[in-house]
Amino acid sequence: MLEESARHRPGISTRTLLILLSVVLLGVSSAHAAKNTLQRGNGAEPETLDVHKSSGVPAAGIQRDLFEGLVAEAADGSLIPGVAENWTLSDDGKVYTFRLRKNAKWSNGEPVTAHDFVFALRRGVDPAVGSGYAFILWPIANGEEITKGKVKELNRLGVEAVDAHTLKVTLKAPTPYFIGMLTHPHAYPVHPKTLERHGDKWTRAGNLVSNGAYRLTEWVPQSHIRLERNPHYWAADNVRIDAVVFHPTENTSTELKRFRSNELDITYDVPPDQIAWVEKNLAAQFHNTAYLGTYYYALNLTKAPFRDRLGLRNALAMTIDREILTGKVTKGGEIPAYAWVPPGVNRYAGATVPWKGLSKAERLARAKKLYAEAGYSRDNPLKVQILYNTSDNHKRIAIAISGMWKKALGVETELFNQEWKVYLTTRKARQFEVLRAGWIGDYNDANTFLELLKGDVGTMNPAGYANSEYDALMRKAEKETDLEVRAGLMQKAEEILLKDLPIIPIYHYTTQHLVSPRVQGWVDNVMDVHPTRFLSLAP
Amino acid sequence: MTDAATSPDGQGATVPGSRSPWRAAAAHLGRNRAAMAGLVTLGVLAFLAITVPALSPYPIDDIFWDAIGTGPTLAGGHPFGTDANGRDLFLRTLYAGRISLTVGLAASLVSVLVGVAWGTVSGYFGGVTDSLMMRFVDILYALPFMFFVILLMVYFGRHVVLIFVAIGMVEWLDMARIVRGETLSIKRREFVEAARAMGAPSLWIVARHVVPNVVGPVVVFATLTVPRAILFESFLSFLGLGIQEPMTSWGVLISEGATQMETQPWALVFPATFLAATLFSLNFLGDGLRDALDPRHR
Amino acid sequence: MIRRLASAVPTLFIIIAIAFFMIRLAPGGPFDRERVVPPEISANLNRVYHLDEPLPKQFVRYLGGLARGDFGPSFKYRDFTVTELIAAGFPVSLKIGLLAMAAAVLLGVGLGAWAAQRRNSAADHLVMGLAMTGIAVPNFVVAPLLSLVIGVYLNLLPVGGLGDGGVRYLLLPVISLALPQVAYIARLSRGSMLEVLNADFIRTGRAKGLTERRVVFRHALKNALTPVVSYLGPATAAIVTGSVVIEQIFAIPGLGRYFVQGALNRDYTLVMGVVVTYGTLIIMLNLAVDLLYGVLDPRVRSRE
Repeated sequence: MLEESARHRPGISTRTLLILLSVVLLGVSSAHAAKNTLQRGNGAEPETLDVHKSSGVPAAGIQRDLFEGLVAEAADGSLIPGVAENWTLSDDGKVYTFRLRKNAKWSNGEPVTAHDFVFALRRGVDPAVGSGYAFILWPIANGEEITKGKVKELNRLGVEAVDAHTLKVTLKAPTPYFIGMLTHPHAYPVHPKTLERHGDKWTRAGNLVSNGAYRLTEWVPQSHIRLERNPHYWAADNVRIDAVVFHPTENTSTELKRFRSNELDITYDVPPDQIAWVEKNLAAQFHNTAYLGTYYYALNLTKAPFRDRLGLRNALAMTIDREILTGKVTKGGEIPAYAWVPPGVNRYAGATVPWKGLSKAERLARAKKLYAEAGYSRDNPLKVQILYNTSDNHKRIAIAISGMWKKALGVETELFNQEWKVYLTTRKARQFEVLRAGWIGDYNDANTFLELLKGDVGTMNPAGYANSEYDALMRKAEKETDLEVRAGLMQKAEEILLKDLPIIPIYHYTTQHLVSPRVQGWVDNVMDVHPTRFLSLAP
Repeated sequence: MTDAATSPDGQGATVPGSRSPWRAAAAHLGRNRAAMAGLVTLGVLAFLAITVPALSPYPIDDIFWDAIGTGPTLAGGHPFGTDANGRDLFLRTLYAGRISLTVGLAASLVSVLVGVAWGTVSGYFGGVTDSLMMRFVDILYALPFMFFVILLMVYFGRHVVLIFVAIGMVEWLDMARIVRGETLSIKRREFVEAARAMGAPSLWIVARHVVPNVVGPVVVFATLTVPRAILFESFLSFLGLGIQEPMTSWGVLISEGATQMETQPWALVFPATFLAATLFSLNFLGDGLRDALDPRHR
Repeated sequence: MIRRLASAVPTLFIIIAIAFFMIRLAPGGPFDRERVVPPEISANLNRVYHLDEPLPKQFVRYLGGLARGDFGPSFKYRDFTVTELIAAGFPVSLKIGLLAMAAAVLLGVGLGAWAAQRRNSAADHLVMGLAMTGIAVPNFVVAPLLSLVIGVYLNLLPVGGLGDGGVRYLLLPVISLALPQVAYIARLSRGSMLEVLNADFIRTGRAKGLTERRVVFRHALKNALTPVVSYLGPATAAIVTGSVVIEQIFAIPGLGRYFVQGALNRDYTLVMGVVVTYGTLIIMLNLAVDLLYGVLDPRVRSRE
């Protein structure tokens, strides 16, 4: 039979097959993007562009180009006047009076008025809107009360349009970081008529009216969001890039490849396991900058084995070699953390763990002693579980730390990862022993870190930490108007915290971006804000 | 299907009185070089996967702090290099083989047990039972099963046993259909009719007469289910829903390696080679078994 | 035929019910964040999205919406309704899926038949070896490898996104998605082609002096296609699964991305929308495969 069929010429010739192949691989044509358009990676798809409903960084980066608050950020992240040309503060530190630019315009040409801000700020605390970030506006008188339903009338919020271009904001108490908070998207103005006309669809391309340097022209979910310059923007003459396209690219390896093949000018992130490669091969384009965030392990103080076991907590904290961890495992230039509040926070000197000055050998000796005093030994080791949300990076860190504990003390660690929502549920119910977590500051002030560990913040306080002395210091700091005295109080609170160690600080975050050489005007900064209006493209 | 067509054997091996069909099948399989090579490869892999981690002087999650992410060197004691955490990849790759092979076998076992029970009962009883049971299979076919598996993983964490069950539950559908088809034809054979005439209980007939006669196609299909289960586990690992640390599987190692194919190619190449060798072997073995057990080819 | 179409409705209903209750019973909810919102606000959100109602009532409400073609609002992407998201993503996934399927069948059958006629030659072994490799290497390895080599090193094709929707953006994702299926189909069709080429009617055809080309195209291929057609059902399922990986790796704005993300975000309505869409698609395709089967093999038709 074999011979028989072999005698015939094959019915399907090689040529036929090649034709089939070329049909499938048809047509490789070329096309290229417009010249003066900036292509930015954006991490995930923004959940929403509605300034009062959004919460993530992916949305904020786009909103920053679309809108402008009373105060804005410069290329280096510092505060500069935005819609407000200038402002004054009353002597008791409670009443701000903002004078708005007369030439500030919406993208439809209408002027931006104090009434627009009143409308937006009231919407921001309105419980019916259901914002997760309403707390940004809680320093304003009655803000918290309105969100929590204790005050029903929105117009009792401490904001008032004195005239079309003068806005008066009354605070509950002096808040030195309030001006900084105004750069948060939650404090941006919205165009009242657009919201009335389009309801839930007001953020769509074609509907959205914005007051920033750019306006929204196209939004294809999961594909791209395109902004073009807003001709009515008051500083439109200084805006040099005509259009900016944001590409959601969750997979960071893909984002890196898109950058390398010139599809993106700026990446949102760099995959942690590629940092070493990037440092070697794309050093000039690589921007690695300290960030306002701390990666930490929380110890559950409400249960054994960490409840009332200060020595054991110290032993575990001391035996994590942060230099090796950041130098050999994470490799992203992270700063080994011996404090809770990261360096670079305004008006704050900071505290450190008491044993930071010890050498590694001394730390190890001390840790071994504390571990033994807690009743553990190589034969009777501590058995502990680390809970982390599913991610390669968290996994690698947990593996390294469990290895360090094992080597130094003989601790037997079980690694347990849960998918994010399950992790949040477990965390809320405090069903963990050691929990991986991270905290990114919402604004540049120590308060955004220290308030997380107050005894009365509920389940958000990850460790269940409650120290009346700490709480008293924080309460005192909240009322203090003298900035230096206030910083001193907070520093004392942090010292107590670092002695108690409900959380083990591991490293302070850094942000990583790749920036194409054709992008000019990029300035690294600790707030990681890079408004497109300060960038330009080399010809 | 391929090599068998060239084999010289004539028809009639199933004629009563000649060698037993199982012997004939085994002999036929023994002559199939590709299938035998597959069998030997699998044996060697399984042997290594069992012995090497057991004999290793250090545990699979030991970290070599001075050799984090280094390439393969014999002198350094890491013939496959180390991973991004400084753990020996030779040891981990072989250990992963244990898990992957177990996942494959266990998931296939689940699919065989459920599929055979479902298929024989459905096919034998026929009528309303049959149409209801097959309706159910149809429904599960249309349920995007990945959704189902993801939710299982979310509910119950990622226990290894659960992964077996989840994959097995997905794979039994085809098995049930195949077994039902076979059962329908066996049902009409004389020995079944005879048993029925003698008043044997239906379930007894199913267990005693039907099940043994569907073994051939079931074995063949099961060998093809094993690679599918191994691949499916690797897919779950890519989505971050696979095995928990410090345990590992080829899927986990490959999905980790794939993100670093430029910087640490060894972390991808070795586990991928092992996986590919296993899948090749299983496929050859499956083909060989099919030829050997298919009367038309003998 | 119409009876089968009608029976798809209860099937779909059961799928919806299973999916609805399964996702609702998973721990965590769509509005759970690391930053815990005040209870007053979450109560508000739950009221707006009817999450405070008993589950059966929510189920009835959901079915009512479905009957009107309304999948509800997305819990995660709050500017869009699920209907809009599916309307944007589904055509993209469908296009890539169909192209991959077409490529898989054309190339798979072509290669399989080609190899079958050169049985045991070097070409045959090469093709079958490649096919085995295609099956054995997971697509989350193939896809980044292709985009690295063809996209980054050679700079021939874009590595991500859909751009203007042109062919060059589709090529890599389609190839990565089709590859394992090409391999399976090539193996299948080679096997069945071998059997058919030796069958009596083919020999008769040759004996009658028909050209080999005519024999292969008119008679052999048609009969050899039957196992390929019955494989199309599983192939569809595999391509749907594969699209989850491929769409993520190539940053494609399709529906596959919502599958896993939606479930992980507890975006109840979005997940349900995707399940309903894919469920319907799979039911329809299975129907189509049955029809095709009837066309290729008249015996099946007469039995129905």
